[in-house]
Amino acid sequence: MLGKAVCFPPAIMLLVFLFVSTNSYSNKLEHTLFILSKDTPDYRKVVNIITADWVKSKKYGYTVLIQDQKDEVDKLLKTSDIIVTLGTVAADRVLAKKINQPVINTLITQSAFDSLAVKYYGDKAKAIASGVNPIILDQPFERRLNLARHLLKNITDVGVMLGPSAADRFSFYTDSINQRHLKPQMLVIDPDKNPIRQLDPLIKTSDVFIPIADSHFINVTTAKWILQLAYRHRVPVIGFSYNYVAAGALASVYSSPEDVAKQSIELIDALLTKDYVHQEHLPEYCTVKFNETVAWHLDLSIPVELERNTGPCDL
Amino acid sequence: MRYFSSLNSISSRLLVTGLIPLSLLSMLMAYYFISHQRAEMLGNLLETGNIAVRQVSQNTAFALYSGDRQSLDSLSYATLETPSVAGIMFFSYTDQEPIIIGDITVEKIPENFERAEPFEFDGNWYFFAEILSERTPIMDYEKTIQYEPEKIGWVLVSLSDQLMREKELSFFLTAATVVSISLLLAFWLSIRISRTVSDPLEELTAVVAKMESGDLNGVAPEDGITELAQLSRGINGLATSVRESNQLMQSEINQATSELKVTLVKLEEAMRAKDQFLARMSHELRTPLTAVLGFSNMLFTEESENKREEQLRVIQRCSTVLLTMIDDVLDFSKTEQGGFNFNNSVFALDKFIEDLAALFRLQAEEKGLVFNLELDHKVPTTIYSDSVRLAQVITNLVNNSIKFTESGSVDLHLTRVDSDKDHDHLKFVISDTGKGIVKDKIPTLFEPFTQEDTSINRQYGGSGLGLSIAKRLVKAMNGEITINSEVNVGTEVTFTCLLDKTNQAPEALVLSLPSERVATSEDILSGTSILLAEDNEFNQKFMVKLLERHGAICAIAKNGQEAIEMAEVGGYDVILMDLHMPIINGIEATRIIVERNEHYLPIIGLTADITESEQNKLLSAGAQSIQLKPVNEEQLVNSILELVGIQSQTVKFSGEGMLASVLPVEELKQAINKNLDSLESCLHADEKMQIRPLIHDLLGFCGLYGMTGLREIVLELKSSHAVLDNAKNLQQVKHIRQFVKESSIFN
Repeated sequence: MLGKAVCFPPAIMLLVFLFVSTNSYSNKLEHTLFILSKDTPDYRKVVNIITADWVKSKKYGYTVLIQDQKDEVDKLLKTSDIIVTLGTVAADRVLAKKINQPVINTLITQSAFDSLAVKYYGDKAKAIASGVNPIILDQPFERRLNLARHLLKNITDVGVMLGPSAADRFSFYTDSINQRHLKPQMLVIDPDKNPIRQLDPLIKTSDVFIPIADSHFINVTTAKWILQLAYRHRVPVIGFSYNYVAAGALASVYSSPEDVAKQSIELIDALLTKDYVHQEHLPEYCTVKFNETVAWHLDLSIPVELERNTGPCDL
Repeated sequence: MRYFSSLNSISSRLLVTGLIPLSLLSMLMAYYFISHQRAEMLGNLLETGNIAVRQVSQNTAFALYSGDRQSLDSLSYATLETPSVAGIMFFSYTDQEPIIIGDITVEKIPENFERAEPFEFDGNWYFFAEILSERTPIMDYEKTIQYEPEKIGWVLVSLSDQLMREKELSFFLTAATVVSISLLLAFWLSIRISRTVSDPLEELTAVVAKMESGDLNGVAPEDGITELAQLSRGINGLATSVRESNQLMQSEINQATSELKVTLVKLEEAMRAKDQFLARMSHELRTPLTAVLGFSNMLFTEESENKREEQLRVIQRCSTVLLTMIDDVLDFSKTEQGGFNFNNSVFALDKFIEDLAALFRLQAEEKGLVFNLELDHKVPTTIYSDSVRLAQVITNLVNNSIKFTESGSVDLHLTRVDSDKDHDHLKFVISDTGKGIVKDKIPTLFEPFTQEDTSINRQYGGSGLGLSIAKRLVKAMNGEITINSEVNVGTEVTFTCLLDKTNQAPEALVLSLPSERVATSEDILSGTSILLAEDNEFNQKFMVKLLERHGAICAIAKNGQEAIEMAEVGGYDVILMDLHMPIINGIEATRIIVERNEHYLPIIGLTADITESEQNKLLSAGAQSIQLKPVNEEQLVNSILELVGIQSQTVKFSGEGMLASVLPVEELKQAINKNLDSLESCLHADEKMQIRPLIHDLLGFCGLYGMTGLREIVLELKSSHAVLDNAKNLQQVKHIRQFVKESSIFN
C-alpha cells in the first residue's frame, strides 16, 4: 500500500472538496487520511501544522474528515495509505474497523488508548502489532515532578491525586516521588464522596500538588476544588494542560498542538521507512506554562529557563 | 333645591368644572405614584432578594461543600447587612442538615419553598436558589464536553417586608399630604379662575340690573378677559347710546311739555273763552227764549188782535235771533269737526253781489246808513264756487260793519287781484265809518268765542263766532282775511279768495231769503200713517198732538223692539225714531227695520244730540233725515212731506205758533215734577239702577222742548250722580226742582 499512488475520479475529488473541506492533491500515490473527533480549532491546528509542509512540497496527498462523516470515512479508510486520528472518538472509530493500514492515534490519553486497545484488540500489544501507533497526549508524571523540583526548591511532600483509571499505577507514582527523595502524599479519589473532604487534608499537607489526569469527568469535577483548596492553603498545583494553568494552577506541562503535530510528522516519516516498528509513542515534546498571578500570590519567582515552547522535553 | 339653584351660577359651574378634573387628576396622580412607588419598592425588594440569594448561592458553594461553617457565617452575615434581608437557610446535600443564619427557622418556612420564583409568606418574602458547583474545563482538547453543574445544596433567603411597608406608609402619608395640598391648591386655583370669569360677569350683571332699573350711569370695567372686556365695552356703548337717547327723548319731552304747556295755556284760554261764551250764550239764548215764552204765554190771555200781532212779531224776531245763534254754533262745530262741505256750482257773480247788496242796503237804510257797492270791471261775471258760503262770509262781515256803525256808510268793494287760466283771485273789501277796533284786540277777533270786549256782546249781541267762521271759510277758499281799523274812524276788512274759472252758464241762485213759494195747510199730513218710536210718555202725547193737528194718523212704539215689531206688521208711511230708547236704541232699531223691510219705509231720526257722530250713526243705520230736538215743527212737517212724497213744495207755517199751541205746559211741569219725585225716592232708597232711566227721561223733556238751562243742570247730575253721595245728589235734584219752579216756561 505504501508508495502506491491513489487516483481519484474528478467527481469524487470535487465531492470531497465540497463536503470535507480539505486540501488534497493526487499527483502522489501516497495518501493520508486525517480523521478528527470533532471539528475544533485545536484539531484543525494540528492537521494544518502537519500538512503545511506537504502543501509546499507537494509531498503527500491527504484528506481530512470528521469522524461522523461515516460514509466518507469508511470509503477512504480502505484507500488511504496512512490513517491519522485526532482525539479519542476518532481513534475509537478507526480502531473499531481494525484496518490493515498503519494508524496513528494522536491527542489521546494513555488511559483512553489502553481502554480502546483492550476493547478492540484484546490488549495493547496486539493493537500495536496491528499497525496502531498511539502518540500519548499525557506528559510523563516525572516531567511535572521534575518541574516541581526545579521550581520549588524546598518541597518535601508531594500530593498526588489519582482517579479510578490511574489507581493501578499508584506505586509508579509513589516510586517516582520516592526516587527523588520526596514524600508522596497519595489520594485515590472516590467519585461518590465529597471531593473537598477528600482533597482538603491532602492538599493541606502537601508542598506541591500534582493531579493525575483521569477520566474527563473526574478531571473537571475535581479541578475546581483542587484549585480552590490549593489557593486557600497556598499550595502550588502543577497541572497537565494549558487550561489547568489558566484556571489557577501554578504551572502546567502539557502537549501543545504544535508538539503533537511535530511528533506526528516525524512518526509519519518514520512509518515510510522500511525498518519502522509499530509502537506506542510517549510525547517527545512538551510545553511548560506558568500562571504569573498565582506565582505572585504564592510569592514565587518563575525562572525563565524553565519555560518550554514546543521543543524536546528535557525536564 | 337651593343647593342646585346655587350651582346655576357661572362661578359655581366654573368652580365645579375646574375643581373636578383637577381633583381627579390629583387623585389619579396620587394613585399612580403610590402604586408606582409600591411596585418599585416591591421590585427593589425582589431585586434585592434575587441578588442576595444569587450572591449567596454563588459565593457559598465552596464553604457549604466543604462544611466551612465559619466561611458560611461570614458570607451570610455580609448578606444579612443588606436592608430587609432577615435570614438565610442553607441545606447541604452532603450533610443533609439545614444551616440557619439570621431570623429564619425551619418551622416557619412555608411549604413548597423550593420555587424558582420568589414568594410571599407570613409577611416575608422568600428567595430560593440551588447551590451549584460548576465544572472547571481544564482539558485542552475536549472543550466541547459539557457537564451539568453539580448540585451541592440550596439556600433560602428571607426578606422582611416590614421596611417596605414602613416606606410604603411613609410614602402614602407624603402622597396624601401632597394630594391634600394639591386639592387645596386646585380648589383655590379653581376659585381664582372662576372668579376671574364670574366677577366681571357679576359686575356686568349688576351694571345691566342698574340699567334695567333705570340707572344708566353705571360703567362696566373694560379690562380683564378679552371677550368680557369686549362685552363690557358693548354694554357701556349700549348704556351710553340709551343714555343719549334718553337725554334726547327727555329733551324732546321737555320741548313737547313746554309746547303742551303753551297749548294747555291756550286751551285753558280757549276753555275760558268757551265758558264765557257759554255764559253769554246762556244769557243770549235765555233772553230771546224768555221773551218768546213770555210773549207766548201772554198770547193765551191777550185779547187785543194788535197786541197779539205785536207779541207774535217779537216772538218771531226773538226766534230768528235764537236760530241765527244756533246756526253759528252749528257752523263752528262743523269747522271744529273737520271743515266745511262746499257745494260748488256755477253762478253769476255780479248778480249774486247785487242781490246781496240789495239786502245790505235795506238793512243799512233801516239804520240810517249808506251802503255802497263798487265792482271792478275785471271781476268775472261767472264763477264756480259755493255761493252760500261766499254769501255767508260777505253777509257776516257786512252785517258786522252795519252793526258797529252808527252813522256814515258801509262800502263793499270787489276787485280781481290776479288771474290765470284756471283761477280768479278776488279781493273783497268791506269798510265802514264805525267806532273802530283797538289795534291790540284785532288779532283775537278771529279766535272763536271772542269779541273785542264783553260789552259788545251785551250791546250788540252775537255769538262771537262770526269772524272765526268767516276766517275759516276764507281759508277754505284759499284766501286770507285781514282787519285794519282805527278807533272812532272806521274799520276795513279785506278778504281774498281763489275761485275756479268756468265757461258754463250760471245756475239760478236761491238765497236764504224768505220764500214766496210757501203753502200753509192744517191737513197737509192728512192720511199719512206715522209710527212714533218714543219712550217718554209725555213726548209721545206732545208729538201725537202735533202730528194729528196736521191730519196724520199716529201709532206709538214705546221702545226700539216695539218699533221693529210694528214696522214688520206694516202700514206706516214714515217712522219717527227717537235715538235713546230702552231695550233697543233708535240706531239699532233703524238698522234692523231697514234690513228687514223690503219696501221703502222712510225713517226720520229724532235727537237732541247735535254731534255729527251720533247723527252719522243714525244715517248710516238707514235713517233718511234727522230732526233735532227741540222739534222745529215746520222742518219736521216738510221733512215728512218730502219723504212720503205728498207735496214737493216747502210748507211755510204761519206765525201763530202751532208748537206752542200743542205744548201742554202744565202737564209738562207735572211730568217733570213727577220725574223729580221718583228721582228723590230712588236716591232715598239708594236704588241707583233706577236713577239713570229717570235722568234720561228728564233729558228727553229738555231736548224735546229746548230747555237748555234745565238740560245743562240735568247733564251735570247725570255725569256726577255716580260719584256723589246721595245727599249731594238730592241737593242737585232740589236745585233742578227750583230751576223748574222759576223757569219762565212754566210761569
